Amino acid sequence: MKTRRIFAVSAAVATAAFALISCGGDKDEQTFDRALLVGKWESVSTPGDFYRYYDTPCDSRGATGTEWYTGDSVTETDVLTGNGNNTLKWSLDGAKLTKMYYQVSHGAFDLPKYYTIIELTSTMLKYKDDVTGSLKSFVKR
Amino acid sequence: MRKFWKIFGVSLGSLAGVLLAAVAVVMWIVLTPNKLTSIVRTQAAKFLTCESRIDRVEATFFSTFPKFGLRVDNMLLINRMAGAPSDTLLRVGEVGGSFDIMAFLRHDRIEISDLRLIDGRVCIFTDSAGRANYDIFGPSDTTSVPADTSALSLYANLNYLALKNIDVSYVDRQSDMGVELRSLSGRVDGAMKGEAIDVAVTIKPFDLAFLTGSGDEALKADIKGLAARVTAAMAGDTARVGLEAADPFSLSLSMGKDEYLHEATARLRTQAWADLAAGSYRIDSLALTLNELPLGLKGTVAMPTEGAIVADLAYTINEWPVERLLAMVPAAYASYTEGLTATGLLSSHGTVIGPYDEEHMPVVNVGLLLKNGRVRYHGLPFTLHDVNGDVEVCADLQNESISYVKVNRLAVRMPHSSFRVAGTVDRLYTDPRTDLTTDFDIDLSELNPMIPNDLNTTLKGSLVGRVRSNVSMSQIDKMDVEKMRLSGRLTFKELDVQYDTLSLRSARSVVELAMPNPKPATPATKFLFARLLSDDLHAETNGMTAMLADAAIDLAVSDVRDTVRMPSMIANFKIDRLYAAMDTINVAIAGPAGTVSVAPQRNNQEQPRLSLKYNCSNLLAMLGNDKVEAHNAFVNSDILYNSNETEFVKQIIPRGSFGLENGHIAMSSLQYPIEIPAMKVAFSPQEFNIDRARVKIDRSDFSLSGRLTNLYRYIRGDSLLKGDFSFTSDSTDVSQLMSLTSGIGDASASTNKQSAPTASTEPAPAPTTASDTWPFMVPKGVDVTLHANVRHGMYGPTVISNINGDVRVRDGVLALDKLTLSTPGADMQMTALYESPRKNHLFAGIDFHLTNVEIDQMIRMIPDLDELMPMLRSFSGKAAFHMAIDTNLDSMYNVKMSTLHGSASIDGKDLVLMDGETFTEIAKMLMFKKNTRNKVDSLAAVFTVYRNEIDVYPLLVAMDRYKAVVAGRHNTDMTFDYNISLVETPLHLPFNVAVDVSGSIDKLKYSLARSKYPEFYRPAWRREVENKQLEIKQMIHNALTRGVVKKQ
Repeated sequence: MKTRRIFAVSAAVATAAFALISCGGDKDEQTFDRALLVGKWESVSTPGDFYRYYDTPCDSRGATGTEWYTGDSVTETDVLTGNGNNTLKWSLDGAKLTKMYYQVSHGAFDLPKYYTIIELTSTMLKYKDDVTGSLKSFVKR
Repeated sequence: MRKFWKIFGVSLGSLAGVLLAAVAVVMWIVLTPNKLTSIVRTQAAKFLTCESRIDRVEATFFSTFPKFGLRVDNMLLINRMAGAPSDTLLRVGEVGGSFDIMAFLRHDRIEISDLRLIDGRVCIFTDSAGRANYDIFGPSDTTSVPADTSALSLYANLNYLALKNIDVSYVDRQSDMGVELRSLSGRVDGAMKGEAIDVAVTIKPFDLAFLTGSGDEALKADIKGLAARVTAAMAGDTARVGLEAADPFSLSLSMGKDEYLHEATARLRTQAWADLAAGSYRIDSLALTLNELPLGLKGTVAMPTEGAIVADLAYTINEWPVERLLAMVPAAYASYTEGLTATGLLSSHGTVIGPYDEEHMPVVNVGLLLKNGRVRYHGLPFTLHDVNGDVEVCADLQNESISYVKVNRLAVRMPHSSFRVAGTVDRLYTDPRTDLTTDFDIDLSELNPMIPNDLNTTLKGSLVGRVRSNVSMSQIDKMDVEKMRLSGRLTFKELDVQYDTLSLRSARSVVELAMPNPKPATPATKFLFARLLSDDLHAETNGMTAMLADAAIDLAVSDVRDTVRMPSMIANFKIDRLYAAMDTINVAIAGPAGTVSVAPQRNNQEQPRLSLKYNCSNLLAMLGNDKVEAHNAFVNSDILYNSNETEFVKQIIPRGSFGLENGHIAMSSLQYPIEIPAMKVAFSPQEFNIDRARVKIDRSDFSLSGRLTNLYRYIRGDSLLKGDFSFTSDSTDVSQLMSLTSGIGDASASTNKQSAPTASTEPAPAPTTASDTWPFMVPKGVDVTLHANVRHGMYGPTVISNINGDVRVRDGVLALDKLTLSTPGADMQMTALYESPRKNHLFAGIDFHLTNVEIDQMIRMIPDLDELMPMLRSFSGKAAFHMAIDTNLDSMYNVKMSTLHGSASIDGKDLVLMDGETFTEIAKMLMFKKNTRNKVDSLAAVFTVYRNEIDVYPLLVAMDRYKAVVAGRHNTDMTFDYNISLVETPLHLPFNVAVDVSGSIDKLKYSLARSKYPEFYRPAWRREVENKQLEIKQMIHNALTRGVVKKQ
């Protein structure tokens, strides 16, 4: 009986260990056309939450992206004429979308956010949050 | 007249000669009337060149014995001359006389003792060539005169001459003069022996008309009913004449069409001497009464040469009733006295001394004395009474320098007022100049009837004063005010002036005037000096009220009419109390004093410089419930003005200083009153230099010093207003100061504070108070730095000590630069930005450091930290906390989560992990031993904030013999997604154990999971991603801790 119990535990631990070890490996090697990302996007789940990606810098600080949520009474003009808050620099490496947000207090783009693009068309953008894995969808505006 | 009497005497002598000739004929040839008449006619024809007619000549002897008498009836002499009013030279009804026959017989002399002329008319005429109609005796015919008669002489010894009903007409075209005597009757008693005359003439009332000149210059005198007694004596060239016309006679006098006297009642008495050879006359006395107005005259008149008169006359007029004088005003001048009624007694005395000819005029001295006058004029609403005057006039038409009018006294009283004038008037003939002193005591209410109704003005009170004036006529004509000399002192008592809506009242005020200014402070202000001394002065108009008490105001000005030169003015004022009110505005000032001056600029005479020196002991201004109060306020300022500049800021260039003590400002727009114990500020076009300014606002008490610069460019809009101040405070309520300075320089903010928002999407806030309705709007257009040193700073309930650092406001941006602060449990450093681009879109960026703080206190200080990093609640101990947060805020300072970005790090050592359900659950799943000490050796956490996502970068937690890496995310809605990977354990497990913690705070899920960071803190084993994460974490940490000031 004791032997059976030890075996059962060992088997469970081995299974769990295998399961834990085997979960880590898969990688997404997809690539997307960055040109498709340039433009104004609106969150599907939060209407009024806009994101714009520029191909070239849009302000003197070198930002290439802006965000504004009209639900918070913020306009695109507020962002473009403001002090850099809600501006970012973005980069796309394969499917890896990195956004470095501008921190006014530091005067630098030093606040990173990492996403993995799942779908990018001329009208639709979907990416996954690398921390939580949650999906976010956007439509081109 | 002299000529007339001469002619008259000659005529009379001629007639007597004719008569004597007739009597001689009668005496020597025929004594019968017929023969005598025939003889007389014959002889007359021989002697006379004119036509003559004698009706009858009768010689008398017995009736006139022993004198021989002769009577001629109807004697007529006709001598026609062109231009003569009549051909008849003489017409006499009866001529009679007697002569001494014995003297004739013994001494061959004809002595006429009596002569009478009855019912006659004599018409004497001289044409313009000097030919006379009485020149009727032909040339002597020596052949016809008997030789023995050559010794015969005519000796006139006239004892008696009687005239009855004789008319005399005398016309002298050469002298342009005519005399008409009508009904002349009288008698002459006395002797006329040869050229010696000593007669007494009694003339019964007769009429006399005198005319000389022609046209408008025709002088005409009419005397009616003149009866006179004349005594005359002439011996040689000396004559004495006495005349008395005691009974009144009528006198009319006119010149041209103007009648000066009309049948005036006159009386005359005179005594005079004449030296005919010398042409000198002396009037011992002359008393003329004209309409019962007496005139006395005496003196001498000499005519040394033809056409020259030298006079030395003195006259006296004694108490002439003025009303009679007015009644005698000629009709031509009646318009001047129309509506004038006057009484009083006018006396006068004077002299006329000096030669009168074509080159000379005598000097006339006249003294006028008016007593007890009363004047009523239709233009005056009251009667002038007690009019008394004493005036001297000296007139020398050839010497203006000695000609003058001297008013010794001229006094006039109205029912309740009086005037007195004294002084002189000189330069009478060229430019009359007055130097008068006028004293007056006026009841101002008496002037009201004289004020035009359209002025809508009433006066009350009294005015007592003296005015001296030295003014010439030309100065008045040309308005050469700068040359006039005027001075005076006017004292108003119980003054009450109503002018339209303006009311002016004063219990006692004194106005002093002097022109020119006797003591000018500058050469330019010599034109006029004025001084107002007022015990109290109240002015009120259209709801505005002003009051001055114990005021002394001096004003000196240049000629303000000079449009070429910039006027100058200096006003000194010292007032005990000043009060002004309008609507709800009230201003009360105690002891205002100072000087205001305007003068041309030294380097630009065409532009003015305004100087102001002002101080007061107390100032209180109220607008409704708003109140400003200060002690010892002062302003010293010079302002240069340049009208050539088009911009206002270039037109006015001020320099100076101002200050006050114990200032107190309480306004409804201010939540708390402002107290200013002391302030002194110097200013110039470029800067304000606050030498010292102590301010108290509720719990705030600070001193401010420093400079505000760039004023000129700021006002022009070219640049920011720059300031650099030291802000030293024992206690400062930060939120109060923010509320106080909110919105300065932001036109939209100040506008919106008072009205609805504009077209922006901003919703209108409920208008409660400025502080809670509007967020702090950072002043725009300024770049001001405060070097703060605050011992105790309060922000809400938080009290922070030893605040040091710079607070800078730059054009809508508020920056706190490395501000160090202390609380009982922590030392802080903060760099912060605050912007207010629009009311509902604010920005706050905070770089905040707590270098040594108890974690639990840190959470109390920053409650939001619990939301950002709830795991902190599980730790106890000291840590260093660094945080940088950027976010936009709405008008209520609520965070706009979509704009929230930030990063933070916490470094702690020897922390205690508080036991709790979460820790117990995790420890159980990670197979911690039950005796594991819950002390965390070190903690180095870095996390970022993006919107509602808080990412915790992998951090190593070492506790007892266990090490775990914690990473993951939680959201502001308190949902979690963490992975805790055990990287060291005393159990020596063959696999990596990890736990996922997820779910909400109320319902956490714990599950075994794959270890995400099995080698995270083992450099040899780290993968690329893990290294990148550590680099990012280090970068964030470095960014957060960069610039932290280490406490000394």
